[in-house]
Amino acid sequence: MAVLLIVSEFGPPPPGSPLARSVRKINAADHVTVDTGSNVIATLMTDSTTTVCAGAIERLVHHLATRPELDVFYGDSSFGPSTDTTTLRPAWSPIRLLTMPTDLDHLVVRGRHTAGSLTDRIEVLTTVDADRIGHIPDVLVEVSVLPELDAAARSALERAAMTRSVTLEPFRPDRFRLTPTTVDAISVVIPTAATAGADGRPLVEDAIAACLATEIAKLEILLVVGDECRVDPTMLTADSRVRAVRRSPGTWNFSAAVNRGILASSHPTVLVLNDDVELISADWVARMASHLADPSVGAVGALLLYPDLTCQHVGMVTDDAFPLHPFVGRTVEQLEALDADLAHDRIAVTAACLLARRADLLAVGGFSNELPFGFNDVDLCFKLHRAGLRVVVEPSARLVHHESASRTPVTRAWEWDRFIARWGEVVDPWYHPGYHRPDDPDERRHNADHLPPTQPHHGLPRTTAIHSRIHHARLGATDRADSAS
Amino acid sequence: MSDDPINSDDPIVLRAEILALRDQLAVAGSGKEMLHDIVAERDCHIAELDARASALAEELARNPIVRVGRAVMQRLGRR
Repeated sequence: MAVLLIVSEFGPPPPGSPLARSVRKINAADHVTVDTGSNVIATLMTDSTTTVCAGAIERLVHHLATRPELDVFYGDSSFGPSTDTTTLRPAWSPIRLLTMPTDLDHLVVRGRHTAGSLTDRIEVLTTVDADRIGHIPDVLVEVSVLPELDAAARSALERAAMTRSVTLEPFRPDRFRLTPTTVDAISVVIPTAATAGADGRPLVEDAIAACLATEIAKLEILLVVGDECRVDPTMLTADSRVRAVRRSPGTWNFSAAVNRGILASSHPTVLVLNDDVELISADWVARMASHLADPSVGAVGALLLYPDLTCQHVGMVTDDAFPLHPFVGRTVEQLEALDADLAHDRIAVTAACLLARRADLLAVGGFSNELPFGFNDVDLCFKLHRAGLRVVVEPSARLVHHESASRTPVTRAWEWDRFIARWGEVVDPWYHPGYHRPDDPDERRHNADHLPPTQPHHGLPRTTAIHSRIHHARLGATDRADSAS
Repeated sequence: MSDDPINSDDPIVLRAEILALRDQLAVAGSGKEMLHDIVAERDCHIAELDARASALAEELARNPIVRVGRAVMQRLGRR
């Protein structure tokens, strides 16, 4: 008989505790025994106030048997039957552990473990390989009290951060963000036609000012220009740190223009930036760069706000293969209430503001010339994921983005076809399959808004691996409305 | 001389070409996975068609007209 050992902070749950009561119920089903016997297949590490949901142990035992390549599992949680609120989690996200550690209310680990406190759980996740961690999209436990981040857990958290070469600073109660990094040298690549803003000045002047405000010691700003440039480029390069690079002749291709800038850059870190952004606070690059200290991170995005300071971009989600922007139009306060103002692993971030290592960008072939207008940023992020690198968004790095003030926001059917031909359907591991998707054709982006589920979801374990499968669009209809740019 | 970039002496053109080739290499894996997906889908479809064909053959074999026809053919064969 399979035995699942269940432990809380000081070993098996004390008699009479909610955890012990819920486990006894499971014993009655004669499936699992809380035992100190020898046939322990795995340990559920959680707090003694947690309750195991009906049927969850049976499903867990099944997953343990059918997914031998995974050593650690975690699922979703519910917070009491009265509130009926659930926390749906993404596939394994190291940055989520660092920024919201008390979210880790349970963990299932193969083998026998003698304690299950938050400290123990953090330590397990610090030592195990990322590809051996599976998320089960299924509410496994009911939590009445959030885990406490005591001194021991805080130390474990700091050690977890150190293994990723980053440090943490408190942000809100039990919430953290990475300490900004001093950036020594950076190349900024800004493709621009020097389009004028409402005041008649080229928008790119504000983008240049946003970069110069960062006071990075070795800064070079490469304006990639062509015949479409509406002013003499020398008018934009008065500061010695700014220079113009001519793009290849021919029709406009964003990807080719950015690649030209990356190839001309001389620093190991490259920031790809749209020419229609505006500064909010000077630490934005340092906050983004803090993630690149972690060698597993390949690209970092920022929180981009519309001029009315509502959300335009806080990372992307793919839904039915189509990239969407979640939380569009939400205020910063609303993002905070959803913890969406914390750093998150994402499937993609926009190239309107994307920080990466020059070497990584070049290794994956830069931006694809096959996608001259849209999808090129998602395509790049997919390539980075395939290369084993993570993509994160850092919402404390903020800019105003006059989105598409400098180009028409249209997604052409042929671009969608090309994107689908390259990638097919890639299921987003960081977007829970149980989130409600209204599927309103006119408001498709709401499918990415992390809307509460309307019915229980019992999914199979998933990892962070990116897989392509044939998409139905390749077999028929191709025309899609534009929801992301 | 063709306009194939490999004939260029311009380092900018050649570096862009290297990037484009790396780009193709980076997505090669996804193409392979999609082909596997198509093959698996076709295999399923073939298995479904096989099952339907077998069911139809069995149904046909049970049809009285077919059985009478077979008996007639056997008699004719004997003569």
